[in-house]
Amino acid sequence: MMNQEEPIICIKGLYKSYGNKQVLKGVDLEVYPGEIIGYIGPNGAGKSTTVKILTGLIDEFEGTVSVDGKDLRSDALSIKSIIGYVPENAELYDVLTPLEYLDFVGKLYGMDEQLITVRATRLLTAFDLSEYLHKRMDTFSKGMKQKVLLISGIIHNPKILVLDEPLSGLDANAVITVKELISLMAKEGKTIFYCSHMMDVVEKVSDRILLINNGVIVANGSFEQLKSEQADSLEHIFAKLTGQVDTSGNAAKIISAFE
Amino acid sequence: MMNNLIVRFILLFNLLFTKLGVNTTQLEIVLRTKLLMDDRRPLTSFGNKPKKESNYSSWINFLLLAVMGCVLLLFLFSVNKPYLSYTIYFGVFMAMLCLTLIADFSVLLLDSRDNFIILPKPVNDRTLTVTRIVHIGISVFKQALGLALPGFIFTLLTKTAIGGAIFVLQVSIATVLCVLLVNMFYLIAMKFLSVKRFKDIVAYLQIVFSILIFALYYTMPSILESAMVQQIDFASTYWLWFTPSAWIGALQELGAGDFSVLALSLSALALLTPFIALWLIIGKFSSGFNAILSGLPTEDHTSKEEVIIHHQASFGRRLAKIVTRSPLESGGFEFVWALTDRTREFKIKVYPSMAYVPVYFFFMFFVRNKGQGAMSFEERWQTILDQHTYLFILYFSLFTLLTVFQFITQSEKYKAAWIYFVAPIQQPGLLMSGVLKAAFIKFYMPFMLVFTSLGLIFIGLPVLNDILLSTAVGGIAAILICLFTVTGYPFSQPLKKTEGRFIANLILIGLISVVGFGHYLAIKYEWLVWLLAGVFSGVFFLLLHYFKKESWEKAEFKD
Repeated sequence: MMNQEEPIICIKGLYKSYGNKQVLKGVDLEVYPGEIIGYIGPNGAGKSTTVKILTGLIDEFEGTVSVDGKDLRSDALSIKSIIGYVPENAELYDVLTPLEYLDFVGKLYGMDEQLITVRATRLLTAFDLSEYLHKRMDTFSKGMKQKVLLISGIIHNPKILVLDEPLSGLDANAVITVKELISLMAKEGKTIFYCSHMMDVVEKVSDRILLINNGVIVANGSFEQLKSEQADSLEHIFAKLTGQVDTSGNAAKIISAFE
Repeated sequence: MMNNLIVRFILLFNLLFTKLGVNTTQLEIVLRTKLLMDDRRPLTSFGNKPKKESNYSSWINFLLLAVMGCVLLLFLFSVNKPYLSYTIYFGVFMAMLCLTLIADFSVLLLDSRDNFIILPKPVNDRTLTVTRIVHIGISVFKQALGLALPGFIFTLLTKTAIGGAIFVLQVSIATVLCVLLVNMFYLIAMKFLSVKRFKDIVAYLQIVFSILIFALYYTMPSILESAMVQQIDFASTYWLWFTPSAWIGALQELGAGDFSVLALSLSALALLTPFIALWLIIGKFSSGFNAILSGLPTEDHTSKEEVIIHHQASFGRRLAKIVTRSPLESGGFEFVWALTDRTREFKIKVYPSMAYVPVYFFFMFFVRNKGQGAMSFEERWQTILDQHTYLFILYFSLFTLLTVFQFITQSEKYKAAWIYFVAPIQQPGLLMSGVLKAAFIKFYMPFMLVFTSLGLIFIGLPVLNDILLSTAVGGIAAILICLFTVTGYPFSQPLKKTEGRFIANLILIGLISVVGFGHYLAIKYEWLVWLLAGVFSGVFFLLLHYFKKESWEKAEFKD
């Protein structure tokens, strides 16, 4: 779904290193309003680093990142206010109740207390957590915490939603809900930046797929485009472009270890 | 090396274990692994210290207990009656051992990793249960040995080999009794409490333990020197019959050649008790105890206690509405109010420092002053009121804030702090102002409320300007402490991080002391105290205004 609008996210020549290790080696990407981007890559390829820079968790980098026409370095706060982020691990202050946590998050976004309460209650109910509004989250399952995190990512009604493995730990019903939510939000003009290792989900929900390997983007296009150029499934495209041409060979090596 | 010796000793009983249906190969490997993990476990005793990663934790723990054992020598040194000294020594020894065992057992027994690692493997229940019990036995041995070693050396040097041998017997009896008491405590507690609630209780016990040590260190020497203790006629004291440490203490009397009816009777009681205790532990309690152990694997799924908190009606939320002016400030206030209540590590570190205030005050004015040795309690109290030395506690309680702000940034859940850094926080100072207000109201104002009530009762209205001035100074100190010692958002940094703001802390302590002394000098002039209270209140509000504009650029995400 490439279009002629101004990109809502524009990253040019993004470099980042940790000590001597160069993690991002010149990432260039553009994301347009209403797009669902599937951002994939092997472990250590630089996916999380890109996401952390985009969401403001890392503020030291080389290159330019602009969101909604604003530069991330000079206008980080207004960029943060239009981004919702759901991190990979269910890291939250779980001694709080979902309402308390969402109240805290909403206030960090400058939301009015009454609006937070109304919206949080509705969202928690929509995610089947209405019975748990006043219960401390340290007794919650990973999936329940993930739902609260998802809600905390959208409670301020962001323009851009950055999801890092958002389906982790969710039950089948919640997975369907989240997938539908992603589609509906995109239809409303919101932009989704979706990171995942689950190729089948990325293949289904994404308008466009960006594949990062070894710190650079190695593929950029819709699944159909990539399929016609590279291989028949996203898994095989992934394996081919990340240098894992013989994945079945790896499995055979594992089996032979028992001989 | 030491662990290897212990395991080899345990394996001498291979035949017995095999008869009990235990797989000794599995017992050995699980035991070795658990002892290795003990050595790498963060230290749990003495809650005030930050947790440190170490490869020798159990031996560092052993050394710490040995140091505590040296403190216990105080009782053997300073009480002039050997029987009384050993009675007090073993009383404190048992109390300490029980408290450390309760804290330690909670880590050993309630380790849910066993559920995921050992239970899915082909290890039978009996092997697992016996391994857990042997592991606990080793832990008890290490702890009792650490705590008793200095006392043993002291007794050996002062009472010859017989005294030393009797001391070993005494320690063994005391340890068996402690195991019985802890066993009973666990059985009762686990019957009525969930694992989570129980861990909270253990945390509170650790707090009590820290306070006891502190109180003991400051007050015991003087109390022991007091005429009341030195002249006690214990031969006619009925409480000896109800005090196990008095029975144990009596054994040294036999060693010293006192074969009186009292010494013989109490010693007989001491020798008989461990057998009754062992009979109770093995015959009556072990099945219940094993049931607890075997019940533990499912605790993660069945006995989780759901804690219900109605946020809208909470006290913190109502207070936030009164004292904060923006959603961000209110967010910081409510967040800190709730988390300081529910974060075990924070409570273990901060609550003892709050209790130290009255203990230290008591020490300074009712215990220490040797020159006033002949003064009665009432006379000392009157001196405090006449000389206005009560001001000391008004300022001393401010030091609690140093501890609060030292630990308010730390949390086991520090990775959850990503939210601060993705949120568009326009004015971080506002958020931190909420944090400051919550900490000040929660950890300093209770002191002021108590002092105001007591002051009004004993001094009357003239105390109000003192309270007002010291509260304004407290507010200023809180702002300065927060500005100069806090390096991040609340609960956003790992536990092992120590703030290391020694110089800043020292300067702040100096400033508080100087202002406190100034207040003491000004107290003769009521009008001056009122004036200073007004001036300092003004400075406080001015500083608070500046504080809200602070950018907090030093706060960074610890991934």
